[in-house]
Amino acid sequence: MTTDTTDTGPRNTASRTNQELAAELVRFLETNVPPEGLFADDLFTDFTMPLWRLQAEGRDAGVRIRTDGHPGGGRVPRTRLDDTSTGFLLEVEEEWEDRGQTWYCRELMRCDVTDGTVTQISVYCTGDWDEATVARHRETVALSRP
Amino acid sequence: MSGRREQLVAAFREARETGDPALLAEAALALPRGQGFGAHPGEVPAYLHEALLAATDDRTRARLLAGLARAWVYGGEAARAADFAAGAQELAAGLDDPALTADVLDAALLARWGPDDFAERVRLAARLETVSAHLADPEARLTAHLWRLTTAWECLDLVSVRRQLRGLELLDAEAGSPRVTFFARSRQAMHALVAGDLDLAAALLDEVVEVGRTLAEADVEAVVHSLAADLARQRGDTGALRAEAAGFEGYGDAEGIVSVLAEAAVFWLDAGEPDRAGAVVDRLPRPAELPEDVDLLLTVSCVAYVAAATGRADLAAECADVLTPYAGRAVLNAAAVSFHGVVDDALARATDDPSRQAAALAAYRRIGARWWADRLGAPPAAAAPVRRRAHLRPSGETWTVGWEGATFPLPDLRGLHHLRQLLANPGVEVAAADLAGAAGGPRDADLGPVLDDAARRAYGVRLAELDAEIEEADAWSDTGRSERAVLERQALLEELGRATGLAGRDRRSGATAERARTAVRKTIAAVLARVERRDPAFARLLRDTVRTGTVCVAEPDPARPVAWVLSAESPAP
Repeated sequence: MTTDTTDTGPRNTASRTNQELAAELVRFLETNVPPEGLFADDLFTDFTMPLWRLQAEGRDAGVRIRTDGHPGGGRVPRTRLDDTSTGFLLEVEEEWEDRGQTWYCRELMRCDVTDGTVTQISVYCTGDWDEATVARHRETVALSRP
Repeated sequence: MSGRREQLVAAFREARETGDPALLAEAALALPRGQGFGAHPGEVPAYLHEALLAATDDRTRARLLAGLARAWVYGGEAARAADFAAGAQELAAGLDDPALTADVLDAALLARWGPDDFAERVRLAARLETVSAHLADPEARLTAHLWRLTTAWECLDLVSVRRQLRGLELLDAEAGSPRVTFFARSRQAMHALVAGDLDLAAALLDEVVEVGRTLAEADVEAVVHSLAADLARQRGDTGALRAEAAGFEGYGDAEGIVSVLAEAAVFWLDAGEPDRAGAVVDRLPRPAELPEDVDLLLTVSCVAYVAAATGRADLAAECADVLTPYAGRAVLNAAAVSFHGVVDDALARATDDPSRQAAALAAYRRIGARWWADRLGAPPAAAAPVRRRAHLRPSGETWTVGWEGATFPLPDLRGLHHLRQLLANPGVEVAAADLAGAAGGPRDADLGPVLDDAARRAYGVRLAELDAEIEEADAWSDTGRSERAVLERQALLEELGRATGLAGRDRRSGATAERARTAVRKTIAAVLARVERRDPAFARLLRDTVRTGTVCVAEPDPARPVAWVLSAESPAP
């Protein structure tokens, strides 16, 4: 038995809901391998880092922005999904191991969806925090809603 | 002592007779299985400690330390668990044993189950999932799924909730274990109740009851009755709910479990027995006296609900003090056994604060919790802003422009025609080429997309805030603050102008469209410059309302409603 009958997520024009697309996007973040059909062939990627910005035309180029900057095999401990008039907004935390330590970042991803695939993704990233940064932040900032 | 617990204790005593530390450890580690969640642990910690002293290797010691942490958390004394969990992690760190790592991560999570440990709990649960993904042991994978599911529910992360439910479903299919079936079905039932699918919830509950009969699990009854009570609540079955309320109250009293009594009070109230509900909350500890453990949000949210509904204003206020730091979270019974709304819901009831109500409703809408949203009701309507009349209309050879009662004349400028056309059709995108064409210019059909509505509304809200800030700063002669707000406002408007081309993507307009865009922008800018000299506030309204680009649009700001007078004849006041 599945719980699919309780799905309340808005459906985009194809069969996949924003919930399903967001779950696939999370899987991509964890593996660096884009699930089939997640991104449109003519995906436009707009990636903003703390002090830099990149853009890419096409799915493969967009995926390369990710794979060039992140090793695969990470974790996405938490997300928040909101529907928008053109697709969805996904807020994520990521953790991954690299060069002998655990790294952390937060990202906001605005996805435009057409016919059940992501056609445009704008990513805003905090940049990669190493363990020292995470520890320093924990010592110096008390978040009211961690 | 329950029969299950008696069996486990008897097995431990038999193992003690053998004098074999390994057998003693295994028997001791089975003991927490016989504990009811929140009930006193009895002699379980003592037996685990005895096995710990007898253990001859670090792996066993780490497991027993984890077991001690588990026993104390299950026993309702989480504060005692922290040192044991830390000791387990320390020992496991030196051993390259994924199964042991998973076990001690579970203990660490149990020891950090209070509301203030949420961020750490999220990280630990994610690590446990990674470690357990490589283990064949269904118990380890079940534990990981349950922790991830719980932390996902806590922060209303529906993407992860669905993924973990799917993971439990797959594990159930693979493991063929009644225990996995019990947890998978019960958590699916909880999700169905949140989503308001009562038929599915009832069918799943039947399965939970059925498979629960085959298990010697201490918490089967608690899980079954939590789901049954929620189902009765949503169905409005007051008879069934009264029976559940009585059961919860009896068990809570017998075992001294405050959270169970608090839930009983909620069920009494919803079953139409406010006096009994009030009598239960009156004998509970005050909210500030409760330990900051897994049950804090559940207990205080339940008490807040009853206190607010039964006129216990002081108690409701005390609940609000405790709950306020945890706004934005969900309220759960233990490991996502049942959903008790969101903290903002309890705060809304305890404080009558409409912003809390709005936050709770937004959360319920986001997760599709219709029953919860419906019972909280629609947010009270905010006082509607005053709708001001404003003129932008031809008047003989000139135009009349400005607020009603403070209009001024302007010469017949082309930009005024553009503005009037846009203001007459709020929200309708008009190609600059069409505007220019109406005045005799060329047009281009291939116009770029514009900023999406949601983003534009967000920018509009910020612009309104900045306007208010500028006015307030000016009123207080705070020039520094005013200048900062003006600068931000200018920068935001510039960014909006740029964003019209959609996040840096090349504008697709051709040369004619580009000429039209430039022409329309210049003519409107010329008008605005003239208006600025006569009435800066009115010019600001126009700038904020009208966007120019290859596509132009007038987007009225709901916070500053305006009744536009655009026809040539001056209307009756």
